[in-house]
Amino acid sequence: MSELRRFLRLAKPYRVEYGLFPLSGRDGEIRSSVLKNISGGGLLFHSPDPFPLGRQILLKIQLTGWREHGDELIESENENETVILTAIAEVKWSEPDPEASGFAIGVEFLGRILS
Amino acid sequence: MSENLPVIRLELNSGVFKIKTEEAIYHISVSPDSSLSRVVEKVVETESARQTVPALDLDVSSADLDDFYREVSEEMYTEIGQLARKLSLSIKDIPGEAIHRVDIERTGRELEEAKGQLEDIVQMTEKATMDIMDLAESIQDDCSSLVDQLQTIKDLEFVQSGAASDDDWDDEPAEASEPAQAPLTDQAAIAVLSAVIETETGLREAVSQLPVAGEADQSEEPEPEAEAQPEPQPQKITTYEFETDVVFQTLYEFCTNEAVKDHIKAMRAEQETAFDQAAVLKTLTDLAPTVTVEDNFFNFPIVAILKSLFQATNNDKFKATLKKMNQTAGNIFLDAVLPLEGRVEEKEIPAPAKAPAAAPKPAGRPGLPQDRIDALLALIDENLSRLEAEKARLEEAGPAASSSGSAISGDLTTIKIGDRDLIINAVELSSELIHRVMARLTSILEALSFQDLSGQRIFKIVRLIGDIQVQLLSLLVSFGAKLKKKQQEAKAVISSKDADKLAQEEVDKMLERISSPSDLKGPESEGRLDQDAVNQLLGDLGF
Repeated sequence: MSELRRFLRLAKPYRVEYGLFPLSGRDGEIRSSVLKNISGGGLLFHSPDPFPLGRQILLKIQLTGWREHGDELIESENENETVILTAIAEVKWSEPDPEASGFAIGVEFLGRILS
Repeated sequence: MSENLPVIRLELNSGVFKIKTEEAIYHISVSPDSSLSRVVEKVVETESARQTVPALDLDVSSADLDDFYREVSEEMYTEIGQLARKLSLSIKDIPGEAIHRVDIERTGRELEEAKGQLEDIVQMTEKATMDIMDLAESIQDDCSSLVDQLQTIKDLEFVQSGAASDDDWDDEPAEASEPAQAPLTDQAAIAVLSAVIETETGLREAVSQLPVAGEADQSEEPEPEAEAQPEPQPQKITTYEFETDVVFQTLYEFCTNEAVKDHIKAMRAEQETAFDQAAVLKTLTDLAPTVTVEDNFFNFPIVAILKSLFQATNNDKFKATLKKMNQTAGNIFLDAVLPLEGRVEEKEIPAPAKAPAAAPKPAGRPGLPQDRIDALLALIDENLSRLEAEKARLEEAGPAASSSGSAISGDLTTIKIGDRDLIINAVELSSELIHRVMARLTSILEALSFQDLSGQRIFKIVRLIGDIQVQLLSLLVSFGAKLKKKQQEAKAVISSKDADKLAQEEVDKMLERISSPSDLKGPESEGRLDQDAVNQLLGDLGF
């Protein structure tokens, strides 16, 4: 996780949907949670279950106040407008959440699914 | 199930890989710089910045908020107006350029370039100034050296003596006849020596014919003085006496040039203070035995008299005059000899051995003992041999020495070798210094040539300032139009679009107003700002 500290972190409770990657079989279950923080390198979210380290997961991050502009994102005049950023990440941190029951899962971004 | 699936390991360099599964077809592209990180970073930075901006006090009422925005707007409007006014006053006398655009982004970029150009100009100016100052100091040094060299020439003795009264001699030809110029050179000395030798020879002959004491031949040419001193021991010598006043008077009478006569007159007036009269008389006395005498008039060579006067004065002006007179003697005097009146006296001397040098005239000499006559003859022979030797030396060395400028101490017309070398060195060095000064002046001109480049850059900056002025005016007019509209319709709802449209119309009117009048437009004035119109506009807006 120290790698993530190169980036500025934003502690904002964006909603996120996550599941194992690739989505197939019974492992294709999608769950919903909120972010604890996010940066250019990865994010930390709350999960009721732990994840094995090194597992690849799919993330759908809902960014409010933003909209798509090609492959980029730009600020939206409508602060309620939401754009979904889909990312593939690898679990780097999975520890009990000190703030709530469940676990804090830290992932590192591997790539992005554009469509 | 997954344990039964084959594991396929892929190593991706670049490009897009397609993987088809039951659920989807994956197009996988590998990039070291995923857009995900970039996009998320942008979101994080933007959102973080938003969180740090202090929120407005939401407890403030809407009316208070409007007042606040109005005050801020009016304050901004006022400051922009004042800035535009100052800029307008500053730029009034600077020739501007055409109005090109109202593009703040581009102007901001050009402002950076202008700053760099101004820094370049400052650096170039400083460097050029330092270079010019160094060159100027070098030129000053060279000029000082030049002055020193010229002073060296000026200080030379012959230059000083020839410096005066040149204008008074303009009516005389520059070249005198050869015989008149020559006497004071080697040839002149040889001629004088020849005359002396001739006289000395005559003297020897006369002495050899003197009656020996005790012989009865005194009755042939008795003289009163001789009779008064019958004893042979007391020796009588002949002395000559001249007066410097008579010298000047005679020169004056025999001179044919009125301008020169004035100079002679001036010298005569100052003869007692400006001339060593004793030295003049001694020279004349020494020469007297060598010249012919007619009724107490001694025929001295004019050049000899001029030389004696030259040597007897320290007055630079008189020296120069006498030198010129010597050079042109053949033209300004009636004859080469000057009949100078003098007196002859005979005196007794206690030591007879020295007497013969005075060369007594043969006629009228009393009888002398044989040993005295022999002594006189020996003395005369010795003189003759010395004179002959000196004459031979001059004849041998004369031509070569004359052509090479050999030094003859005290000569009026020759230049000492040392002086000649000094002159040559000074002239050569002066020439070198002048060339150096010219080269440095050229360097100065080169150093100043950057001004042309500076002018071009400054012109661009001035143009940019003009652009800024237009933009400021546009902002001012735009703000003013919006505020005015809001004031007029305080309660009306004005959309942002309407306000922008209104502002644009006002800006267009303003641009048309401040452009140079069409009737004055020409190749140079087209599109320029009409500064009077700008000032009028600012005045209308209350600035």
